[in-house]
Amino acid sequence: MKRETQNVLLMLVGGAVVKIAFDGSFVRYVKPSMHPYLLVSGVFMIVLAVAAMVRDIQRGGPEDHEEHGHSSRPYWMLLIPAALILFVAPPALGVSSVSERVVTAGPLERTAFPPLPGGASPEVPMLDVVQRAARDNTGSLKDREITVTGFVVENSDGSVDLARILIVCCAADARSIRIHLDTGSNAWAEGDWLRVRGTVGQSSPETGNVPTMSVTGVEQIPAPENTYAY
Amino acid sequence: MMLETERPERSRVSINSMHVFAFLLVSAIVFREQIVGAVGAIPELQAGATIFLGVFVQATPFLVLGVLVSGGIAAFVSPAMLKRLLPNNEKAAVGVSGLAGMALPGCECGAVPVSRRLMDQGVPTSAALAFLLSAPAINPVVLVSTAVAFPGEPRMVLARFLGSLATALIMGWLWARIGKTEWITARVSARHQDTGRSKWEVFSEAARHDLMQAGAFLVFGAGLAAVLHIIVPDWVLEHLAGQMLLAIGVMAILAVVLALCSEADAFVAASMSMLPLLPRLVFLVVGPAVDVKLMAMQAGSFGRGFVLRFAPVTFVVAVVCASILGYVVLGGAR
Repeated sequence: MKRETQNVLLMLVGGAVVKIAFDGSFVRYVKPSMHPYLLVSGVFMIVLAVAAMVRDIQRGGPEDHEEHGHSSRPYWMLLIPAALILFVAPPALGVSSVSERVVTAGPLERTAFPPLPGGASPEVPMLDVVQRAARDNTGSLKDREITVTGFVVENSDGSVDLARILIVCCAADARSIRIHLDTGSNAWAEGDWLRVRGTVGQSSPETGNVPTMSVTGVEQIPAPENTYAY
Repeated sequence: MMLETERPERSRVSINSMHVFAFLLVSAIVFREQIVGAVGAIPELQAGATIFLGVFVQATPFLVLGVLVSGGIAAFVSPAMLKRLLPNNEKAAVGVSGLAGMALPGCECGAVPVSRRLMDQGVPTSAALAFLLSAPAINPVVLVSTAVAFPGEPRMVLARFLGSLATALIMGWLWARIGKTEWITARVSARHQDTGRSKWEVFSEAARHDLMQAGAFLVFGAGLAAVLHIIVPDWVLEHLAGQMLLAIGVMAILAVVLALCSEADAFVAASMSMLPLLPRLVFLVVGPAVDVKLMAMQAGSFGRGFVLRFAPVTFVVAVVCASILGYVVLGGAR
């Protein structure tokens, strides 16, 4: 690959990284906390590319002398992430891609959790609910109506789960967490986003620590900007 | 080389990389709808693309940090300085650079260009390799995230630290004994004639080169990891609970094929709570030392012949170190 092409390609990759950092779509792939680092690294790539271009222009032409150590052919690979970001922009993982990766756990030690937020049916993050159902020894969920947000997953037996995709670091470590909904009917399509009110019972290792929610109210909502839970 | 670049190009039509690049870019713009449709039609392909970008985007800042350091070494750290810093005795140098890995707060993607640059600046290969193995595994960020992921098990942090450090040192000493320089086939990038070049120029050229080089192979590795993610079924884990040796073997292989970032792998290991601690420790020690993404990047920086020898040995050493130290530190096979 010629040096001029390398510089344009590097600029393209840097630009792609800056683009997803700017328009916020980077949260499909990594955690929100990566934002400043992505911006800085994208800008750094562009600066390196521009510096090399300016140097070549001042010199009146590129020097290709430095590449005789090894082939520069693998550099073409960098076109793949740049093109994927700029032209395809794959969406955040849905449940179909991680359905097998349910966070399940064996018997767990129970510990005391802090009390739930006050008010009538407070919104509680799903991960918190699942952890309390499995490990809380203060019974904070008992007979308490809460609100949980997630999307609909249909099980093969026709029953319905509310799920979130949980990522630790990036999309490569995605798993799903679920709460089973005890509603008889399923009026929703798979992937619909719901805000569900109800009470959640304790879970047990036999059911893969998936708790069951007795539903008292359901509201369908548009999919949030950032679909993952952390 | 000069002959090639000075070949008169105006006299005949020749296709160069810029034409190919422009052609690819224009076709991508023209056929964008079709490309998006084709990827979207296959859910596995779409999920694979997202996972691939997850690995790539996650690694980018660490890669940039790595090339900042490697460019800095090229511009500001002379071979003579490194010689003064490191002990003359090669075995002692391995120890020092293995411990120095604690100072680079990044994951494995950044360590490859840095250790390559250290070799170019005259650091013994064995010491640079010890750094390559220890830096992603024992830096403070990784140790803290391990402590956070295993709240009730502080000994997991100690076991990981000792297991990874032992792996790095043993591999360094092994290389000092039996390693051969000619195994590193990818030739040293031509040392630039530093005369007449400003520090900024040396720095930015070295950083640019390392970024292209390591980034290209990161793409290979991230792609491979995405494919394996889709292929490897998770139920394998559920059948391992009672079988310690099998679990150790499978977790070691999983560490290689999943190629998780060393700053995240502790959380993944923590979530596999149906498994005993020892196999999960093996997962944490093997992952930063050998995985498919790292092997691809090493093949780019050091050559294929190097990886074919280095990776399998590192794998065995890491599994053994983690098992023994885990057994001792964690208090038995549990």
